[in-house]
This record gives sequence, structure tokens and C-alpha cells, in this order.
Amino acid sequence: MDQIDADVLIIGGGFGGIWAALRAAEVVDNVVLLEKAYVSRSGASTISGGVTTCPLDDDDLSKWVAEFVTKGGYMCDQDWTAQLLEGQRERVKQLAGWGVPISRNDKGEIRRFASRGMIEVRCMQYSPKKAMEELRKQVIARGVRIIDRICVTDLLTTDGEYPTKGAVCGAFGFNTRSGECLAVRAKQTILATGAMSMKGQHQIDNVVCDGVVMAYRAGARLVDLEFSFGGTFSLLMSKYTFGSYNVAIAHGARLINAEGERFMAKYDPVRYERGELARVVAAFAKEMIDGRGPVYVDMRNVDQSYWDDLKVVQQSKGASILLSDRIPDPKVSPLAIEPTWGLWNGGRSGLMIDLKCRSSLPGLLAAGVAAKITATGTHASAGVPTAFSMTSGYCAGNAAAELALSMQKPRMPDDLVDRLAERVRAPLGRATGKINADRLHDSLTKLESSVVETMPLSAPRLRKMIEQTDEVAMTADRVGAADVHDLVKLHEARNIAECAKLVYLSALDRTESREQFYREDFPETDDEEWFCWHGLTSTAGGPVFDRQSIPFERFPLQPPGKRPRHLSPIAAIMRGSFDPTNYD
Amino acid sequence: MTEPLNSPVSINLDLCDGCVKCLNSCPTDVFGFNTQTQKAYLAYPGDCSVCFLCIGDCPTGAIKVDFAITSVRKHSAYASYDPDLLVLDPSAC
Repeated sequence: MDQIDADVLIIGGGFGGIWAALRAAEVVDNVVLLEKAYVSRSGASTISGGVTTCPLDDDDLSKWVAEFVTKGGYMCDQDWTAQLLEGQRERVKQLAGWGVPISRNDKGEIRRFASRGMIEVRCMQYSPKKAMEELRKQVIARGVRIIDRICVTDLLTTDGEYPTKGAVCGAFGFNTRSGECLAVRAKQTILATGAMSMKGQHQIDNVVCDGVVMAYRAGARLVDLEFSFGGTFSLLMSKYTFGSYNVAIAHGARLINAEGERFMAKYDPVRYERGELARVVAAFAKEMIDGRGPVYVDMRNVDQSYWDDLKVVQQSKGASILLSDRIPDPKVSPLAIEPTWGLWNGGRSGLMIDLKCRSSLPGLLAAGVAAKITATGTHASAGVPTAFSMTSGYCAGNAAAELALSMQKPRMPDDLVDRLAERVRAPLGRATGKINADRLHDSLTKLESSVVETMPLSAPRLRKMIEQTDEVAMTADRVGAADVHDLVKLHEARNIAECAKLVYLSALDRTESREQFYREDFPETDDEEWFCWHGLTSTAGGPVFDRQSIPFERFPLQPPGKRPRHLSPIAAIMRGSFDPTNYD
Repeated sequence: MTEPLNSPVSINLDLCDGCVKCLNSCPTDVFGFNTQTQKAYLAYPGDCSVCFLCIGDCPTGAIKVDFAITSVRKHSAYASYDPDLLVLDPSAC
């Protein structure tokens, strides 16, 4: 057992964690970053499509804020929207200054394109792997102590209780190869553990739900968990990873059905495939249900710059199916494509944080998509998750370091670390059998299916899903781990089961449909009851929900007024009654 | 010699020079290092999530990762479709 102290501890080494470390290390000396894999080769930041929001000096950001707020259904913290865009302008400059490859035009200017669903907001494409390599160098140069291959299982609390009545004071975990335990006692802890996800879905199988669940257990307030359902068009010809849908459609890729029809014309005659992602996914499902599938991606008119950039990405990333000889030439033949749809929060849910990235628990901050991106409301933006990760990381690192400056070393119960070590390592002492961590992950992914089945939710279905998560969680508490590698996967399975249950409970509690959240049994949007942030906190008596009004008295943009109950866009698409003039 | 196993990932041990870069590359710890042979081996090949990070990092081209995702955890709406339908005749539209 190793025990160390830190002024600021950061859990997770993707964009959120690294930017937090970069900033914190400018203010305090002792910054520790724990990463489950290896910083620069882990997380969604590394293998993403490399799309991020790109505001530059000449842009009038008030227009961008207005677009995010209206597209986000006004369910935004508008101060965060402005902070995000102003912060991202600086992050882009820093990336460019470090020489991170960014797609540029013939004049050497950053080549920007309209963000999916947007008119004003612009994105850019960069090399995510190169960006992460550069960021690793930068944090090491600033004296941050990176400890790779640590699977963090629990936050430390000053009273040793879960949920705590005190504060968070660090974290506990173990080395994913040696199994050696590590406790880091910290004045301030930043959670930057990334998205909620299941294994086998997004090619980032070490990113699951660890951080959000450990924060929930400690007592941090989560919000809008029912909006954790998400996905994108990522599967080509039923078995290949497509790459970035956002980039492809920005360069002219289209979706057509088996009749050759560009069906998005029916749903969004302005933006087509670039419309609100959940609506495009719902339109896909509708085409399939009505017998007009498969749906194909038609890349015959994609511009040359797309293919040029793809070659650069391929050199950095290793491979792209679109440039391989394993499939027919996508420049000639439309190929079947489909979206995933399941647990993938992408910042639409998570820890509720304020402008300084502080959670509801003293001593705990959050950055990246483990936090709810209140900047963008219900809008699922291309580019914002990465932008938010960078800027929330910077803000969290700054706030945590400032707080740590005036603090003494925190105290915690003497036996806490030993108690945690005993519980965390217990599966290594249990017999292993046919049911192991892998089978539990198989069971969890059966909760999800193809988008046609998973998008419509209902009370009976959600109750059944909750029962199934309970079963996995109970089994995980009984089975053994064959080795330390298996122990990591067992904790991950336990965390996914608990996180998925919270998501399904939240979905059951929300008796309406809204934008991407679709309940067959409550197909209407109900502003009277649900125009709010939907909180969830662990208490001694179990999970407790709350509804928090959005503080419009603070904000410049006011909503046009509560609409009477109306079919949500996805409900209307599924019923065949969608009229694009009725929806933003 | 190539270790094929039932996994998307394989290592050509004739090309592997034992640099262990793949041990850092892999987010899910697929690779291990055999101290006797001084080469990498597939410690947990079933955990390959086809991210291709190792491909770009391997200096000798010893690692291959298949494009096709065969995981039972991936769900396709086209699972029951005739494979011929997954490509549209370009002259038809």
C-alpha cells in the first residue's frame, strides 16, 4: 500500500484531466494525476474524430451563445455557454501554438466548418492523438506527477462515510498490473473520468462509468441522467467503425434510404443530415421500421479536402476502413450505415457543477463529460464535448488550486484506507467460475440493442432494465476475479450496473419526452413539470430526485414562454406526423 | 510466427523487437511482455476494442488489427440482412 499527499488530485488523463493539471500546476506545486491507462493513449479525447468548437478572435460570440441556448431548448446555464466559448478561443490558440496539427486551407488558415445542427457555430478538425501527446509533454514539463495504470475505485471522505457529511479528500485505487493499492490524500480532487459508456460500443472500452458512480456514492449531486442515452452513426456495413460522422457530413456526405431518397429532407429541409443528431437517429429508425432500410452513407459528392484530411488522420491513428480495400470504394458506392444508441452521455448528464467546476460536495470538482455540460442544454453538439473538456479542465484546475492554497492537509479516519483496500481486493480471494467479469459485461450490453429497439423507452421496459442491472450488481458482488486485470473489469461491471440503474431510474421519474429523451408512454413535452434540471443525490434513505429551476433572472436570453404540451420531435417522427415548421 | 487466437489483434513475433510501446498504447492492457523471449505477447486478446492505437505506435509493423468488429456486445440493425444489401448499386440512384 502506497499513500501520498497532493494539493490537487486529478482523476483521469483525457482532455479534462490534462488541462486541469496544466492550470493547477501553474498555481500549486504538488499536483498528482491518476490515469487508468496511459495519459495520451486513453479516453475519448485520444480516439475521437478530432472535432472541436473553433471560435476565433473576429467572431461575435454573442451570436454563438444565442445559437447554443436556442438549440439547447433554453435549458442552459448561459454564463457557462459564454465561459465555454471564450475559454475555447484560448485553448485553440494554445493547441496551435504547440504545433498540434490542425486542418488548414491553402492560405494556412484554420479550415472551419459549420457545427452539426448549427448555422453560426464553427468547428475545426485537429489530430487528437498528436494533441494528447503534446499535452502529456506539457504537463510533465510543468512538474505534474502522472501515475499511469491506476484504477481508482473510491473517493476518500473526511468522515469515512458514503454518502459523506464532510468533504472529499482524495481517492483510492490500485495498479492495474501489479494490484498494489494507492491512496492519494488531497486538499482538492478533480474528477475527469470521461463519459458514461458500456464496453463494446465505442472502441474506448476502459471508459465506463467509474467516476460518476464513485462521486454519486460519496454524495455528489448528479443531473439529467435520463439524457445519458445517445449515440451516433458509427457502424459501417454492420461491422466496421465508420469514423467521424460529423466530419463526413460537414464535407458533403448524405444519408439515403434503400429507394435512394435523401430522407432527411422530410425532417430538416435546411440542415438535412446536419440536423439535431437525435432527430437524425430517430429518422433512421423510422426508415427502418417502415421497411425502407438499409440506410446508406452516400459519399460520392464528398469534397477532396475530406479525403486529404482522412489520410493525415489515418497516418496518425493507424487505420481507416474508408481507405482500406476491405470494403467497396465509398467514393463510388453508397454503403450501409447505422447509429448506435445506448448509454453514452456525452456531457448531457453527469455531476452538476458551477462556473468554477465545483460539485455539490466540498473538496470535489469535475471536468469534462463526467460533468453535465450545462452550457449547451439539450443540444448534442459536435465539437462541444472536447471544447468543454478543455475549458472545464482549465477552470477546474484553476479553482481547485486556488482553494488548495488556503487549506491544511485534510484528515480522514485512520482505518478508511484499509477498509477500502479490503473491500476492493476481496474478489481476488473468491473462487472464479463460469460467471466472470466478461460475462457480466456481456449481460450489461444486452440491456442495449440496435437503435430501433433501444430508442423508445417505457415504464415496463425501464422497470425490467432496472431489475437486470440489480441482478448484475448482485452477481458482481459475489463472483471472483482470476487476476488483477479481471479485478479491473469486475469493478467496471459493478460501476456500469449501478450507473445504468441510476439512468433508468431517472428515465422512469421523467414523465415526458423531450428532444432526444423519448418515452412511448409519455410522448409529449411537458414544460409545466419538466422545464428544469433534474437532480439525483444519494442519501442514507436511497436516491432522492429534485427539480431545479433554471435561473433566468441571471441570464440575458429569455425563453419565449412555456409551450403547451406537444409531441416531442422524436415522438412525432416515430408517429409519422413530424412537421419541421413546428420545431426549432 | 504469428499468434492468431480468436481476436481482432495479432502479433508477428518475427517482427516484434520487444520495445514494449504497445504496452503503453493499449488502453485495455491487451499486451504483455514475455521476459524469456523478450517480446510482446497477447495477454488479454479478448479485450481488444479495435481502437488501432497500437498500430500507429508499433515501430516494426508487427501488430495487425482486423477492421471487422466481431464482438457479441455490438448490436447491428442489419444483423439479419443479406450482406449484398449493405452496398447500394450506384446506378440505382
